[in-house]
Amino acid sequence: MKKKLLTLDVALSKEIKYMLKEEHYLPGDKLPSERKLAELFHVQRLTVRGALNLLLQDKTIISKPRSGYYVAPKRILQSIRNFSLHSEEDSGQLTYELYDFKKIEADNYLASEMLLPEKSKIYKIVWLYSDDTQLICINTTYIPEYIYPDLTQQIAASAPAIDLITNNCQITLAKSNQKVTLLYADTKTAQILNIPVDSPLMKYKGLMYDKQGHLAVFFENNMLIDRFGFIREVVL
Amino acid sequence: MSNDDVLAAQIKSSIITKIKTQEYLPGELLPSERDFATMYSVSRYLIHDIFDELISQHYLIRVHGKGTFVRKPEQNRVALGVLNESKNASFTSLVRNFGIEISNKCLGTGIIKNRKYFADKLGLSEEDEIYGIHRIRLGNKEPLAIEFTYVPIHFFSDIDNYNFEHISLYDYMKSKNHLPVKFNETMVMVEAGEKLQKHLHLPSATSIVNYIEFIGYDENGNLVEYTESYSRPDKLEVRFVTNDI
Repeated sequence: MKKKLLTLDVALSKEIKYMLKEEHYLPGDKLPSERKLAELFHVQRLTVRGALNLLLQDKTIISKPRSGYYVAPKRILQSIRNFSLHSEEDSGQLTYELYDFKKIEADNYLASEMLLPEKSKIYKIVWLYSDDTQLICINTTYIPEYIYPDLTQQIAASAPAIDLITNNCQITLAKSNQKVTLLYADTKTAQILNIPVDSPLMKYKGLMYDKQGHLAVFFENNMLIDRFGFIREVVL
Repeated sequence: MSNDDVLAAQIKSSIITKIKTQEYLPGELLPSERDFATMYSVSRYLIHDIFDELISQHYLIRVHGKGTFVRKPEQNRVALGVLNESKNASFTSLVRNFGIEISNKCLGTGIIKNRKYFADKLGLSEEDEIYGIHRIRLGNKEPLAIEFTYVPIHFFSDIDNYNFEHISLYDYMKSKNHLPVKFNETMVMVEAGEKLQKHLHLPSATSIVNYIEFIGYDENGNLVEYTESYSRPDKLEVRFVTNDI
């Protein structure tokens, strides 16, 4: 006889996920106890524990010691089409502050990332994003001076960098090349985000071009991995 | 030096940097000379010359009728995007053709019934049968990803007769006129449990993996695929390219 495709713990973890959805559980809501879940789904406590463990790993739930299991905070899902966190539907739960603004010269790294000559003049704009409990993202945006010649800190603080470019410079962002990788927090990043050094982070970075193919923006986000996700629709 | 020479040197060094930093991955198809020319606002001939130089310096190779690729060293971070099987190369969720040898190891197949979660994902009712395929995707024999794919049996009644270690699932789905052509994808990073660690040969107990969920629709809008894919971030890079021009 063929082995069962789904092991009991996997099958149960999916059933619990479905239950959370169907019964409209919200972030912060408490799950039924292990014993209750075992009764509800007619399985052993051990299976329940296995399933909950899987849900902890994918951050569907969180556990509070001596209290129980709770629905995890909702991830902020970023659509790959919208380039700005600010403008996301979910951004209601986000607060943001301008952390740094300066005009710099492209070093070797920036020059190669942005395909610009070294020493090119670039604006560096850093925003910090928090949800109601903690800092969750450092967003660094680099804008070549030729895109926005007279950018000032005051203007930079008035709106997200992408909005500045599209609204104030009448630039349509037409092309982008983005990627998501895993990285571990260095000392500086860890300090800003108030997390241990070497904590895993999602690095989301990308280049955006205008209609003529000129580079308009290079951005790098360091994000807490359990607070973000990406969604996209692809048509072949 | 003329202006063009300066520009050429800059473009060339930035391409080399991108190869070294693996912005361009080994085996990756580069944008066409025409696209590069547009990107830098220079002539195609200039780009052609730059490519020629990079080819002679073993950074790139040109394949007649296909384009210019980043030369592959012996081993490296392999592919990008997601290990789907579509032939469509650019701009998709899908792996571009990397010239690495992709193989599959089947962990199990079987019918699922009365599982609300999966029925819901596939837009089916609980009693409808679902066929599941669990596979490890390997690149040059190294595990890159593990994929749990579920399809509605009513579109694929003879699916159990096929072995998807050797046959492309998408070729099969195409033969049934239910090839997915539209995908809704969600990507997050999650902690890998023990089983994943074992299957993906992950180094440590706290490894993070890419998790991508696909919902696939065929050209008539039928929901034909639900896939959960876990991949190694050190082996597979998730990239998105958008182009509205």
